Formats: sequence, C-alpha cells, structure tokens
Amino acid sequence: MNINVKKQHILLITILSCILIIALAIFTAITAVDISEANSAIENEEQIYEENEKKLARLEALLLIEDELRQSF
Amino acid sequence: MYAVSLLPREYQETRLATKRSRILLMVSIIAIGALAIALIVMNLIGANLNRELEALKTANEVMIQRIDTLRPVEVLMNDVTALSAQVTQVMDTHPEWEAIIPKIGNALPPNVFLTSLTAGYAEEADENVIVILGRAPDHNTVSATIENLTAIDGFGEVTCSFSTTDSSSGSFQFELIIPLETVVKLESGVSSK
Repeated sequence: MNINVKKQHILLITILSCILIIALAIFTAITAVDISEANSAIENEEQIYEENEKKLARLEALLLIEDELRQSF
Repeated sequence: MYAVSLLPREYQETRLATKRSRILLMVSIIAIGALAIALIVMNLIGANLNRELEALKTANEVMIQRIDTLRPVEVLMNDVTALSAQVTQVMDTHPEWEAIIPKIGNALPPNVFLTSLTAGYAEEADENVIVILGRAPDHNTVSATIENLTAIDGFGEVTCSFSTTDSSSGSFQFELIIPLETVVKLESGVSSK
C-alpha cells in the first residue's frame, strides 16, 4: 500500500514536470521568435540609419554652399 | 557468481517500475532546469536587443529631425538643379545670336546702314526669321547685301519685302527677311533642329 502511494506521488510529479517542460518549451520558442524579430528590426533600423546618415551628410554639405545656391538661384 | 534474488516477483517488478519513474522524474527535472536556464538567457539577450533597437530608433528620430531642419536647403538645391537643367536645355536649342548678329554685320557692305534688326525664335515654329531694315545708296548695293546674307550657313533664301526711295535723302530704304532654316550653331558649324 505504501509503495503504491509513493508510486502515485512520483507519477503525479512526473506529469506536472511534463506540463512544466511543455510550458517552458513554448515560452522558450516564443522568446526565440521575439529575438529573431528584434534582430530583423535592428537590421532594418540600421539600414534606415545609414541612409539617413548619408542624406544628412549631403544636406550638411549643401548647407555649406547655401549662400552660393541662393545667389545662383 | 550469480546474484539470486529471493524476493517475490511482484515486489521486484514494483521496485523496477519505481526506479524507472524516479529516473523519468530526474530527467524531467534536468530538462526543466535546462529549459529554465535557456529561457532566462534568451530573455536577457532579447532585452539587450530591445534596448539596442530603442537606442537606434532614438538616434534615427534625432537624425530625421535634423534632416527636416535642413529640408529647405534640399528644396533650394532641387530648384537650382531644375533651373540649371532648363537653362542647359534652352542654351542647347536656341540660335547663337552672339555669333549670328556679327555675321550679319560683316555681310553688310560699308555703304549700307542698318536701321533696325528684329530677330525671333520659337522652338515650336518651323521657321524663324530675322527682319532687318536699312538704307543703301542704290539697288545694286541691296542686291549685294542679299547675296552676302544668303551665303551665310544656316540662313535660308533672303527676300526683300520692300525697297523704296527716300525722296529727302535720295537713298533706298529696304526691308530684308532672313529665314533661319535650322537652329544655327555658327561657331561650331553644327546645325540641328
């Protein structure tokens, strides 16, 4: 009788462990997807940053010749 | 040597099942630990990436604000570029008056006086003309003027619209119409429509 109760306890703990493993696996997968999305967003944002940087450099160069541009216009 | 168990068969099976259950439980606990550690590490990485993303977004916003403040310079540059293109287009197609007018002047005999010169050019028109009014001592001089003008490259057949005698001065007043056959590029010697 004692052995059967112990066996039932172990079985219950094992089932709970399995549920916990499944939950953790799901959360890990969701986190992995989030990381992947964050990586893509960072790459996209870096590309935008580089384009903006080039544009800003061009505009700042134009700002230096603004007076000449106004005169020629 | 043999290890002989004298325990009952049912008891042995129960012990074996309990042992298997414990092993399964241990494996489960190890898996839970591994997954928990992986989840914590991935959350840390994710948080770090999100911070990096936010920093990039902030930097981009600052840069866009700076670009917006410089937008008028870009508009000015676009206007200048458009104007330059327009000037270039016009300079490419209009007749070179600065070369044509001296040619006309050189074609006039010394005793001919030019009193008026009207030149018109329209890109859409098929034929553009120069109208000159002048005075000459006689008809022969007018004819010589017409011949000289006709000899210039790019000029069509020069016609005299009228030629009258001025009774007060005794000279001939005339009007010549010079058609420009093409868009004349006298200096380069290239004619194009």
